Amino acid sequence: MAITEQLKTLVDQMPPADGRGMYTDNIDKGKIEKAVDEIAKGGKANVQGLIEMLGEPGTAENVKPHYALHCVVNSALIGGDEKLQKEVCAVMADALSSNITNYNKAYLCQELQWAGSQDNVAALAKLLTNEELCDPAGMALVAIENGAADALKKALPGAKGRCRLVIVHSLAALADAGSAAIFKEALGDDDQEVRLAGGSGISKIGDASAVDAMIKAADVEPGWERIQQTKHCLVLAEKLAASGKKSDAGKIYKHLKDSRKDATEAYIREIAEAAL
Amino acid sequence: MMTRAEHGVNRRRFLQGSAAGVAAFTIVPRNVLGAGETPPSEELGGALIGCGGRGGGTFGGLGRGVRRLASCDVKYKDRADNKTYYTDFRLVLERKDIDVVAIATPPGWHALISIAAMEAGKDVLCEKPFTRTIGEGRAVVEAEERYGRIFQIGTYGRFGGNQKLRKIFDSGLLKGDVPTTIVQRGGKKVRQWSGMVRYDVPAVPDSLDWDMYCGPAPLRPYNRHRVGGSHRGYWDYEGGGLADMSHHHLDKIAYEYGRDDTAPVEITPYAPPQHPEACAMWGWCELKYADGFTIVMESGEWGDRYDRLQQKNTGEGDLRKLLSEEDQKKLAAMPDPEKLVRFEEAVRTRKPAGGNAAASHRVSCIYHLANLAFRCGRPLKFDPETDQIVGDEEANRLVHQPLRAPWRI
Repeated sequence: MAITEQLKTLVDQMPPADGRGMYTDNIDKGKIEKAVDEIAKGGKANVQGLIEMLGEPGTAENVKPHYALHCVVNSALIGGDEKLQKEVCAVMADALSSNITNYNKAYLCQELQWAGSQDNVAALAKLLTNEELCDPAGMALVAIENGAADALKKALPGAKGRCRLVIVHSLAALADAGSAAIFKEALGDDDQEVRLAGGSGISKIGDASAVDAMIKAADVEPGWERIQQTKHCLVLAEKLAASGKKSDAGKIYKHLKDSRKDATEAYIREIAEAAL
Repeated sequence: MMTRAEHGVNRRRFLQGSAAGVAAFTIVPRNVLGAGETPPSEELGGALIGCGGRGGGTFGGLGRGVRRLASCDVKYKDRADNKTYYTDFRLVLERKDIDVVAIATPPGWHALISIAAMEAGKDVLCEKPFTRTIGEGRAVVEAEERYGRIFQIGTYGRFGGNQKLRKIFDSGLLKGDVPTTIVQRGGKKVRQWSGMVRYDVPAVPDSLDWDMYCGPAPLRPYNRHRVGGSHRGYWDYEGGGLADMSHHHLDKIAYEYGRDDTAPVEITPYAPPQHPEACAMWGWCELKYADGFTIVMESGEWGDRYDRLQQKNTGEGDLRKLLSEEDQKKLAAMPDPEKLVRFEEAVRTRKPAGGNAAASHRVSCIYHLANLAFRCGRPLKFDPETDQIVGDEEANRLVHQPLRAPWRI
């Protein structure tokens, strides 16, 4: 147990929730900052203690340690204290493989999204195949960015369902050029959301080799998927044109001009015509 | 025979053509109808997405001649028939007979649905605040540009703006720094739109699609206070009273003082450490533009009163005095700024609406940057060209926040 009497006293300096359950009364900036500084001085042990003090969502016992932990994480950023930032994040990353609740693991992912670094990528990546935690882990990895794509790709073969979607979605959000083959394969997935994530990834990396596949993916029946993959075609064409691959871009625009004949898709045809 | 859907869409396409064409297409003359009635051939198909609170009012902002064909809300699980009532906005946007969309969801959805609607060829009227983050705002601007759709924010402060003031800034005659400071005090409902840090976690009501409600934000344990207006108190969906009220206050200021194509570059906050999920108290924020123009937002609800700068040089006369006599003559000879176009007229004429996405983005940067600085607890520097915080990687993570799968912009 890393919870000491001194830590409990310092955490108790955090404001209590007011009558409405909010932080709106008696908010003493100086008192909070002083207590947070003292907690931070206790380093790793105090951060472990704070994590042990975390409770169930919304409960009175969770209010102060939940807030205090975030304040300690952010105090490292305010002070530009990289050593403290790394130390705090390392403790939180370690706790992701402990037996704390998934609610609190998700909270730690959120804090790593806020302040984590490449050092914490491996710990977050372990959660990518956990149906309940793949979302917060994926979001943290996208925010951290450095080193995240490799970890996501490594986790992909073992991921199914929601986890697989989160990984392809996150790689697309990172616009990871090294995932070109994954995006292309995703276009043929059984899951519409995975297909759309693949299209998003292709458009963001401006993959000229995927022009034909992207056009095919957008030529589906009218509906959400057609609208979205058409958008990915347009973004891909813009990227290709901007990088000097005008004939590849032109192929997309010509196809959209020739294929969007219905009055309800005239606006797409007009965009394509204007770009040609 | 032409279906209603074809009518609506053809009319929309037609509206992009000539004025003569519009006249020719009006099959049923207005004069044979009762006062205020819209000929069926001019009617547009409309949808309301987000039917609580401001929903009805926002839909009304679409103007006359819009028939509501679809109502969509995540709380309609018990009545959704996917014909008139929906829980999933994507099904609404697939409909060919919907021309215009009013969006009054919590703001965590504003960017995503606005963009998706424009991608589907719809024109959009979206309730304020513009978006949840600066990055989302940039994406709406890009969609507006790419698709050439009409976007109007659901607040109209700039429409009553002082055109003489705007004219000074449009003229390009002001040289050097702009010595204007505006201290905007109160009216932010900070305490009112705070979030709960202690709350109950009951079962999700049967009528509510909670996963869809959370949407691109983290999937949290259900808490009644996160739904139904009080969503404003959570960073996941909005940004407290500051985000909720500021577009009203700042829309007019941004218009009058020519701030529609730039944003503050130095942001200095005064607030207690912020909670990671619940919006709470703050004191003031000083936001300085590259040309020296400064806006101070003060809550008047927490902490010491702001006393660093005094309000100054805000009037038309103050600013005109900064011009040489020759330049004042040039200014007088210039035409007044063009009248801003309202949504209804913008849809008809295809001219950009007065509160379009590009302008709204710049207004929203002001309050987003203030909130960002409060949350980060440190002064920030911002580059309006790139929409990035300068030299602060972690703060930038709040500018461009990851979205929960499968949602993307």
